[in-house]
Amino acid sequence: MTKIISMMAGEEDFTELLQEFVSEIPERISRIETAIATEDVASLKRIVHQLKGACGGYGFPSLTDEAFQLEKVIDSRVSTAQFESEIDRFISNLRLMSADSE
Amino acid sequence: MLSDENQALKTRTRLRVLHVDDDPSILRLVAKRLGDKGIEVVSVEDPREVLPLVTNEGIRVVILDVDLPYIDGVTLLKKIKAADAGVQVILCTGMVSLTTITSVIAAGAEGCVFKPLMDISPLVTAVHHAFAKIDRWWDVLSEWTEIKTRNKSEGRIADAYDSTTGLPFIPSNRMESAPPAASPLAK
Repeated sequence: MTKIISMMAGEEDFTELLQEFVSEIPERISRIETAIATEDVASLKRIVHQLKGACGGYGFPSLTDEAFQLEKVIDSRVSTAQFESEIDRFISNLRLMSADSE
Repeated sequence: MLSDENQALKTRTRLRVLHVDDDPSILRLVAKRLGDKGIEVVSVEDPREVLPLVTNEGIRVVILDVDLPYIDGVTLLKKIKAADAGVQVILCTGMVSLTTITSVIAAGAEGCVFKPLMDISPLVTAVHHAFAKIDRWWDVLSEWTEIKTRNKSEGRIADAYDSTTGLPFIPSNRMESAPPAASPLAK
């Protein structure tokens, strides 16, 4: 799968901050999965909301857009299949985020 | 026109702001980006720490998220302004409703910047505007102090005017011999 590279990846003095952000993604994914397993909608919404705000700032605007769409899916009465499809895609793309410049 | 002394007191060697957000990655991002622009950032994750910091640490500008745990940003904005109306608060938030925008305007927010912060310049501009507003009011208060001091030294001794007569109010325990100044309230 093609890595999703940050638009800030080339900024030398931003590298450490970017790497720290990307290194925290697995933990955020784990919290998403826990929230889904426990049907904790409030926690799920908060995590997705935080990612919506943070991803763009760290140079991943496409993930901000996806988080925005996912927020709407969580709030609307979509089918379980559609919800699971959206979540799976979002998590897959989170895993592809990269702090490397290439 | 400020005296040299008051002008020196106003001169600020650094811009220092308080930033409140429950996401540590946002706190780090803003601290880095604003720090690169010469703005020192005190970062706070727990909104319950804000009021003591504003009160005790001389914070004059606060950058505030809206969607916070324990206390929402709009309520916290109102509490900050109630504690010290001179503190300037800039909201930094994701997309919110128009109702929220009008609420923060009514509550006295200085400005609002939207996440994601792909471009930090709107926030930098908002911070500079906030400090410029503080400076303007500093000028007003300093000039008021100088006028009052000058009036006393020149014998215009009234600190206030009687709301009924419009004449200068002189406390009875003060033995003043100078004639009362013309009252601005006199009809």
